[in-house]
Amino acid sequence: MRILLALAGSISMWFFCAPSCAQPKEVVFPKALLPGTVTGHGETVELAKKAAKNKAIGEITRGLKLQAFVLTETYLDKQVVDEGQPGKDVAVDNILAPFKAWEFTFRSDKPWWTDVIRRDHDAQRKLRTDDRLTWTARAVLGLSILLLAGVGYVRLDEYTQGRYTTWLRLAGVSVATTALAGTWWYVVSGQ
Amino acid sequence: MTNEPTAPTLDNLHEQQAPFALWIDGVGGYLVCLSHRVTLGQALTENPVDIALIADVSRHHATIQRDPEGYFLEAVRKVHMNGKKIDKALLRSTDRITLGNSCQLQFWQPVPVSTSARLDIVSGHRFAEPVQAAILMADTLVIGPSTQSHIHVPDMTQPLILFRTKSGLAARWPGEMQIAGKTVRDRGPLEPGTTLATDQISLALEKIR
Amino acid sequence: MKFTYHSGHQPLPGYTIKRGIGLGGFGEVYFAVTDGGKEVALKWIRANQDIEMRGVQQCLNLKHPNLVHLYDVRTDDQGHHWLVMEYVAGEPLSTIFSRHPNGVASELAGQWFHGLAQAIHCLHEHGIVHRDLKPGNIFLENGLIKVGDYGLCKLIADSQKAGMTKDVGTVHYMAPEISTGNYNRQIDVYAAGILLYEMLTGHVPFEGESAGEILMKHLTVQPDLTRVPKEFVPILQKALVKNPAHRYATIQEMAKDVAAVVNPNQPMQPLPMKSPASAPTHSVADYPMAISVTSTMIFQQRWSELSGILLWSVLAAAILTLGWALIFDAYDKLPQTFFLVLAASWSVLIPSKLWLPEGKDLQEPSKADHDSWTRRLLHMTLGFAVGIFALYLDGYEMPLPWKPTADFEVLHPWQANPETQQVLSRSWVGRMYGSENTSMPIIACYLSYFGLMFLILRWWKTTVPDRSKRLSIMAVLGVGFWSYILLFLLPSVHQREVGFASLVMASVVCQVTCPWKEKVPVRKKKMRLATA
Repeated sequence: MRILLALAGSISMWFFCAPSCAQPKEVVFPKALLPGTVTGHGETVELAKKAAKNKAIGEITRGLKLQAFVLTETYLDKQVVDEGQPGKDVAVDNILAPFKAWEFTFRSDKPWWTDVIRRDHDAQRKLRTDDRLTWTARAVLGLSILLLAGVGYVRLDEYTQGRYTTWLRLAGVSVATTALAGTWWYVVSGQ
Repeated sequence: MTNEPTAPTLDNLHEQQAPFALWIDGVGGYLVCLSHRVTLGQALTENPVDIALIADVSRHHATIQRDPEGYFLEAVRKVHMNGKKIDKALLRSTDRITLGNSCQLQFWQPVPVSTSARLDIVSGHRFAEPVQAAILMADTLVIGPSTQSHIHVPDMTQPLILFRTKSGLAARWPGEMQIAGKTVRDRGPLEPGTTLATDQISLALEKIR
Repeated sequence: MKFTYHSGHQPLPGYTIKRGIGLGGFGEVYFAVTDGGKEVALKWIRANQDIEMRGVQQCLNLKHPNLVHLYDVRTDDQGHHWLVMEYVAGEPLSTIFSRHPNGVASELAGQWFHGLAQAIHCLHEHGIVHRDLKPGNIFLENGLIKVGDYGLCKLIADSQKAGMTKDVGTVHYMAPEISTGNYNRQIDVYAAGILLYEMLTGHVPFEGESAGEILMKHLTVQPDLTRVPKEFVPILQKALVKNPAHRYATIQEMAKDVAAVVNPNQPMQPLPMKSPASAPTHSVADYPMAISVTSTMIFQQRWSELSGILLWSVLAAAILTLGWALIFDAYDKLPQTFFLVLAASWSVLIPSKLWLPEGKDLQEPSKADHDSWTRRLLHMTLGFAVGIFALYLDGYEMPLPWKPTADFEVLHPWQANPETQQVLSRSWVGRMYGSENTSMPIIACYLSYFGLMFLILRWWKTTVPDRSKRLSIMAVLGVGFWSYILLFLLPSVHQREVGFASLVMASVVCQVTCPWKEKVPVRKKKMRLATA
């Protein structure tokens, strides 16, 4: 009986949620958000490559509105851009050697941007988790102090056989108020 | 009759060995016999038996004698032990003694290390003194929480021990006690007519007869 | 015990105190001997109003072999009232009951009950309601029952009013209608029923940790008569019925039924006391005992118990999770797991402490099963809440209507986990379930896992005080088994480890923190000798 119920429950859950959970659709390269290529300039080719990578990271962070995930160059090399090619040197006045340029093209053969977004989601989740754990810890602490005040009042009242009921009540209420105020302060100051 | 004093020193000894009543608050009353020879008989006004019984028994019905080998029951009149008629017999713990036709006592030695014994009436008769039991005290009398005590007091946490000294009786208690209103520690002398109180038990010794 | 007077004192001329006997609810009791040699019990009544002595005076000349006789009421130089009574050398039934934890043979119980009934009948015939029948007031002297402490009811009522919570002993024998303040002699019938039950089983039918709990059971719970010899069951049913109108009208009727059961061949002589038709019946309603079980009292009592349990559960959860993290080296998951353990155990503890089984199930909550599905559904709802909480702790953005939606795609909980590379974990959970659940929306993963875990198992069974063991390993294994079966529902390895560990530990926390009473095995009764 229990097994049947468990199966029925989980299957119904599946059906219940099915309409709103379409499979992730095939994503095409988001041209609107990202330029096709990025070019970096530098005194040497190496520096130009580095500048181009930095620019690419900036474009992606801006374009995909990343909030938590920090792209690394390694990730960029591996997943996001092709080998790249030298661009047109840029001659700058008063400088003898022209600036080198390097141009990267974002890959569109595999949907790396969804992976980046997913990683950003994960990183955001991680941040929020830390935040929420702190909140919960404060709430549990406050609740425990409240409980302690209540239980302590009852136990001490029993122990003293009701001789100091008024004092104990006062103490209990003040502890509880302090705990509540403390929690509230945490909430306000934490915001 | 049996302990006729023959010399002033013995008279003194007799005085020391007179039975006394031990009243323990919340527990009961006990007749403590110090003499090594204890007589049992009917409670009559001018009858000086050590353990007087309100029962259909003779004036002097039997004697219990404490020897190095143990307690001997000597019959003066009709005595049965565990259903068998006897004249003289060695008593062992839980033996049942029947005096006359109906008065039945049970003999106990609850403390293995102490030779002191306890006599309880099991036939619904009574001692002349309003006590629960008679105690034949040899050297020590244990009042404590264990069932291996002469007087079992479940609420105590440690035993109070009464013991004989050269001059009389004393009590031993690990802690403070008040004897006749004075605070003493660990041990203190006791005599009939005094009270003793600790934080767990209070009792009084009363001279009788 | 601290007594005011000691051996040798003479508070009343002519009476020499030998020793203290006991401290009652309303004064000290001494054993004393008169100058003439009569043994008496002296009760020093610590009450000053003469009016309160009237109840005693009314009883002074009652004569019955089963009553502790009252000889006189005296006043000493200091104005203290002393009640001079018969000294009973026997033991109170409370001492005898403690020696016979499984009750006495029914023949003996019948014999004792006969004496008790005669005494109560004598009181009732004289218009006196005892009101405080309890083993401490009933003595057995040479096989004869002696009932004492009658006529002091007003004093008792007052002393209980003052210290009701401390003097739990007497509430075990208190009839349910006492709480209404409107009662009559049938409260003695009820108390006699409880006493008969205790004689037969060694236990009172309603036990509890506080006066409020016991009174509540008197009001609502049917006594468990399975331990009583079956021929006594109808008698006790009729004696312990809540509504006094359905109870035995007189103690005589009850005594007749008991006698018929004990000696089926020889019908008992009717009780000797003939009732004078004009016996004045004193109303007792002018002394209402001020004990009423109000709903606030029950609520307070449950609430204080619950807050104690919740407090302990915080500590237990902390210790368990810390130990778990130490053993499995899972510090990164520690806070999350701790809070989930707390959430899961609280959602078991709170409903099971606030929604107690009612009626006769209160006696043996572990057997109560008829509302099982309602409870399961309630737990499932709470399981959903725990699921949402887990989702919250996992940092998913809650798609709340008042939150502005993000411009770009946010991973909503009602999307499935996006496909990722297979994660290999060194933990066994990870190895067993290497693939992630990418077919279900994340919210459904959480809700179905926690909801089903709470639906399938009867979690409240681990919190009842009469469970067979304090900490049942089988219950923990059961949680582990079902959790393992359902683990595929959770989206990722990390969440699976947390989900599994938290529910298993919650099961331990619930069992450890809930109070537990060891069951006394019921042994077969043997004939026992009357203690003289």
